[in-house]
Amino acid sequence: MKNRILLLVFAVVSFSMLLGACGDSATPDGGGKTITMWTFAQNNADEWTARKADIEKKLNITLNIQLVAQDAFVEKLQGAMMTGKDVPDMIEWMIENNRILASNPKDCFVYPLDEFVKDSATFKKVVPGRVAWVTYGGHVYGLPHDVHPVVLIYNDTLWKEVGVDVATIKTWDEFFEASKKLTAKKENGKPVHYALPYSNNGLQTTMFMIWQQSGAQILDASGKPTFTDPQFKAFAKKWAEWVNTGAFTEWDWGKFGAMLKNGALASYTSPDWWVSQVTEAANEGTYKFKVRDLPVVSAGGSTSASWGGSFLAIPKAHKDPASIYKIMEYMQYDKSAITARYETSGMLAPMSEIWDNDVFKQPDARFGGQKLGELQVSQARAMPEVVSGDIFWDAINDFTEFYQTYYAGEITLDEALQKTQAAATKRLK
Amino acid sequence: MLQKNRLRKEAITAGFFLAPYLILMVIFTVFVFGMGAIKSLTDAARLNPGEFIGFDNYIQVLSDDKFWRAVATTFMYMFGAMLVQIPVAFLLANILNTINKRFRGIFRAAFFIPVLVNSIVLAFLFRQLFATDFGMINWFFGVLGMPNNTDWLRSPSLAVPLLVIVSSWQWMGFHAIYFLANLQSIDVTLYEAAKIDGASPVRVLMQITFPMMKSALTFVMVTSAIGCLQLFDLVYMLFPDNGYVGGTARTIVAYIYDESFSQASRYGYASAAGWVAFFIILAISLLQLRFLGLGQSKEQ
Repeated sequence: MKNRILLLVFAVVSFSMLLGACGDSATPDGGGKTITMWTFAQNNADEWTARKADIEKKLNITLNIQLVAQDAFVEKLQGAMMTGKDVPDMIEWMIENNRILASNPKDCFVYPLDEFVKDSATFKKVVPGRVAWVTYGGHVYGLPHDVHPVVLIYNDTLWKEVGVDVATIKTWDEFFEASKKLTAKKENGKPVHYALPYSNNGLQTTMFMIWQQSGAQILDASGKPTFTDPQFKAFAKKWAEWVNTGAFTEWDWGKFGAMLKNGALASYTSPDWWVSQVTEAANEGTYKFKVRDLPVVSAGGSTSASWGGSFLAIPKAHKDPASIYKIMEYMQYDKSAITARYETSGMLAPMSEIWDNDVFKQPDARFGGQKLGELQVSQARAMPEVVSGDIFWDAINDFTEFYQTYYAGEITLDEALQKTQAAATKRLK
Repeated sequence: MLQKNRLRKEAITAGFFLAPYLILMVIFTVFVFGMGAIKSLTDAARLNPGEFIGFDNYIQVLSDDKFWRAVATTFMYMFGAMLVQIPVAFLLANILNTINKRFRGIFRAAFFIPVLVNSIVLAFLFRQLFATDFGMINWFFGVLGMPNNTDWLRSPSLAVPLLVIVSSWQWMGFHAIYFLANLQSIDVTLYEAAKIDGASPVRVLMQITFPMMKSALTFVMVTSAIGCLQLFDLVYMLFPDNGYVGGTARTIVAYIYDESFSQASRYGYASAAGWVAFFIILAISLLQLRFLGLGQSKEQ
């Protein structure tokens, strides 16, 4: 009897240990290797450094985080890959103007992750709108770090002073019509308050965000430019109308917070990484700030957009991308870490399964107790997908060039779009 | 025999002293130039080292409207900058030469300070000054009751003039100081003799000052032209939107940069554009030297 009990206890303990081992199998074992990761942004490097001990312990690796200057990143990586010396095991690089991704894996600096992501239950939970930014020619090349949902932050005091409740505005047309009241007060011939920041520089900053809402793409699914397509044309014309309302002032990176503080800027479209610009102005208390989703471009359109971001990827030179993928996936999507990330950096991770956490339901004192996190989550869920491709970022620069010529009155908008289309098509060739 | 040995020894010593520089020059200049020349004959892009494609890149560069537009912009800027900087610097130097020595030092320092300002900082400074809504320039025009909505940094017709203004602010004082040093080296007895002969100030300027300053003027013109043809940092930072003000501010080097560091990263093509730019700069410099006679002895 005694033996039977002992045997039963032994069986239960063994089974428990087996279960435990199975549970741990989700966390890859790095076998004590040193994994070198390059990142380009100080705040990202800080985040990894803060998690370093935990990652090393959980994955049984030594994590070597190297901050590489953004301007030298691609050249340094290229040099390392061509000489085969000091190639990092993984890189964290920016989505915009990345210069390393391409439809054809042969032209790419990093491995396509298709074979890894197709079987990954974790990856399936990543927001498709974000995956789209690292998908070229149907290949997924990276694991997105963030969502960067865009919200509209506005100075409720100033807007209400001119009789506008921004919370009730439904479309951007209504917003820009209402902004005429805001910009009516002038000093030295110029508005004292502006509705939004934008530097008349094509598909950048505010235009880039609102363009995504329009659903108009600049490339089609095969990667060909679509600047002259009716949908993009309609948006560009609409945008020109909005610019002519005089609602915009320059997007000044250096003075942004100060402009919110002195009321020169009464609202702005903000991804999560730019929300902090309002903190000082809100804490000062002269004005009350509020936050909401984006008004739509047209009825039934998207109320959301994104801007900026980074991803983890594996340089092609690596001999064992499968094991690095596992490590990378854990680093990028460990639930507890990415939940905590929101508390420390205010940046939302692209894993929808964590978005119900209480962290995202906290009232935000800057916005009179409105729940910014909850709003950002709903914006992330509603994020429109953008078709990216080989010439995407260069085409945006082409558009900037011709948009400026149009803005200066030298060509019509139609001509600007045709010239952009021609320039982008030439790039494709 | 002794003479021969001494000459050989001197040559060895000279070689010894020159070696460090020559080795570095071979590694960092000759080798890089050579690699650039080889790359320019390939379709190298991104990680692809490229295959030999002959002169295709050169043909493409020379048939690209965008490149010629960049060349035109660069030349406009060069002529504009030289037309403003050199005469004004010359005038300033003459004024400085006539004022009290005690004040001269202060002015010299004041003129030289802009040269010490980093171009990036300078671009930021002028961006703030020329900002449309909150810039000092528009504010000042507003105060004077003049139109104050000029979008200085996004008007294609103002792009080159703006570059000329900013670069002139930076370099004019430097040129003036160089001219001043040369003015001070002219023998004063020449001026005294001209005065006794009753020469007018214009004649003194034309027949004494200019001839005596010829080498200084030539040096400033050649170095200014080379500097202007290589302009990039100021353009890149003053007009930060990648659009180069509707393309009107894109200089040759900016064109090369765009081709190298675009999404496509066409290094072969950019190398070819670099070589074309090199030959343009070389031609301009040789023309200047030919017509201005730098490097020729006074006897000639």
